[in-house]
Amino acid sequence: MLEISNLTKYYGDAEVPALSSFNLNVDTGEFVTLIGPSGCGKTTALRIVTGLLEASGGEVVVDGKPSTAPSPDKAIVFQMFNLFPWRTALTNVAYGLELQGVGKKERLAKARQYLDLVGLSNRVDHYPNQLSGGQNQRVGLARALAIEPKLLLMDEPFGALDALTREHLQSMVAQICADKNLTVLFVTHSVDEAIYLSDRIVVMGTPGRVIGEFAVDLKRPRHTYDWRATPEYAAIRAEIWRLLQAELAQVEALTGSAYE
Amino acid sequence: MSEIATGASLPKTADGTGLAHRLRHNPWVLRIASVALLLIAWQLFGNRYSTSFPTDVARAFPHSFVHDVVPALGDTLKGFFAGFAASIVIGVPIGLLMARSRLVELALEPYVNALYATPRLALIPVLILWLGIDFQMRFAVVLVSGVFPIILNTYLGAKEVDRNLLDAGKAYAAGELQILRTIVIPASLPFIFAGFRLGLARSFIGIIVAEIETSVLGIGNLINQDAKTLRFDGMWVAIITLGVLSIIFSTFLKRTEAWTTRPWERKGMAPWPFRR
Repeated sequence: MLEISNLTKYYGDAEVPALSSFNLNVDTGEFVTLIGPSGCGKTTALRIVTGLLEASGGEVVVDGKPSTAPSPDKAIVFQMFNLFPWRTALTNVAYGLELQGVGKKERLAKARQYLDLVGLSNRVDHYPNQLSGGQNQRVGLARALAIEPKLLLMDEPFGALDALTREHLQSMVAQICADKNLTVLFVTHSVDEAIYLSDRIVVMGTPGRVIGEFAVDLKRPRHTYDWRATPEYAAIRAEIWRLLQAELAQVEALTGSAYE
Repeated sequence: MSEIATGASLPKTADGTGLAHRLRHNPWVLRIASVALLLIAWQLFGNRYSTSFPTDVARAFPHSFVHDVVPALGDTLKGFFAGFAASIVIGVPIGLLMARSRLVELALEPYVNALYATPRLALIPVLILWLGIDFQMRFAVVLVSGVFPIILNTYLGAKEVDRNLLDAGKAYAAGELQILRTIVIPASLPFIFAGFRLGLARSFIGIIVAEIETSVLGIGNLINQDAKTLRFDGMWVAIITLGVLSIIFSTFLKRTEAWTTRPWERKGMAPWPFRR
C-alpha cells in the first residue's frame, strides 16, 4: 500500500539531513508506528508522505502510484487538531468532502455518520471552542475518516491530551482501524501507545534513519485483556527502551551532555 | 461572580462601596446621569452668542432636522455609501491578493504604505479641482479615505493566518482558490472588520471636511454655514445628528462582525442586527 524508498530530506542549507535514505513498506490493513526521540525525523517523514513537505530525494508510492502532493486517498490527523474554529463539528468533518465537490446533503450525511462513529453524535453543532481537547481530536479523526482514505496518517494525535482521554482515544482508534481494515502510519513518542496500537513498530534515530523494527504479536482486540501483563509486552518494551536509550546516549555524547 | 451579582440582589447599604458597586452593575444610571450633568452645565453656563442652550437646540430640533439636516444628509450619505461600498469591493480583494501573491505584494506595497501614511485630507483640494464639487468628488474622497485602511488590514490579517489551518487545508488537497475561500477569508475576518471600522471613521471625516471646504452641499456645508451666520441651534442639531449617525454605523459594524466572526455566540441570541 505504502512504499517509501530512499527518502531524504535536507532543510534549507542544513548539512545534516532530517531524513537519510529512509525506507519503509506498509501493507494494506497494517498499522505501523514510527517512534523515536525528538528531532529524529519521524514527523518529517509523515509530512512528506502527506505531501505537505517536498522530499530532497527518494520516492513515496501509495497504492502503486507515486505520491508527491496531498491527495484524497490520504488523510492526516494532526497533533494540534487543526480544526477550523468558525466551523461546527459537522462542517469540520465535512471539509474534505466539500473540497472534493461532494453535494451538501451527501457530505453532511456522511459527516454525521462519522461523528456518530467517534461518539460525538450529540455534539454535531458545537464549535471547536465549545469542545474538550479529546472531543476536538475525535472531530479531527472523523474529518480524516470521512474522506475514506486508503492511507491514514496520524502525527502524535494524542500528544496534547491528558492520560485518561489518551487511553480512551487509543482504544477507539484501535477498534475503528480494525473494523475498517485501515492502513495506518502513526507517529508517537510513547512506547506504550506504539505497542498497544501497532502491528509493527519502526524505531528511528538521528539523523533520520531506521535503527530497529519490531513486530507486535499481541493478539487483538487488545482492550479486552490486560495486555501490559503479558510477557510479549515486557519483552518488546525492554528492547525498544534499550534501543532508544542507546540512541539518546549517542546523541548526548555527540552534542555534549549536561550530566557529565 | 460578576455575572451573578446584580444591583437588585445586593444588600441595601448606605456606604460608598455599596453604591459604587451597584452603579457599576447598572451602567445606564451613570451614563444618563453624566449626560444630564453636561446638559445642565451647558444650560447654566452657556450663552446666546456663542454656544446656544440645550433648550433652544431642543426647540429648534424638529424644524431644523426636517428642513435642513435631512436634505443635506441625503447628499452626504449618497456619496458616503457609494464610496464606502467601493472601498470594500476594491480594498478587500487587493488586500487578499497582496497577502497571497508575492508579485502583487512587491508591486503594490510602496503605494499602499505611502498612501496609508499620508494624511488623505491633503488630497481633498486636488480631488475638488479634478472632480468638481458634486457626487464624484465625495465618492472619490470617501474612497481614498476608506480604501487604504481596508487594504492594509486585510493584507495583514491574511498574512497572519495560522499555519496549522493552512496545513489542514493543503493536506486535504485544497486548491489555491479553495484555501482562499475556506481558510484565508474566514481567518482574516476580524482584521478585515478592523479595516472597515477604521475606514468608516476616516471616510466620515473625509467627506465632512470636503463639504466644509467646498461650501456647497451636504451636512458639512450646513454646519459651516450655520456657524458662520451664528445659527448655533441649527449647527448643534446637525452635529448631534452626525454623532448619532456615527454611533449607529459603528454599532452596526460591530454587531455584523460579532455575528460573522463568532458564530458560536449566535445561539440563543436575538436575531441580527438586534443583538448586543
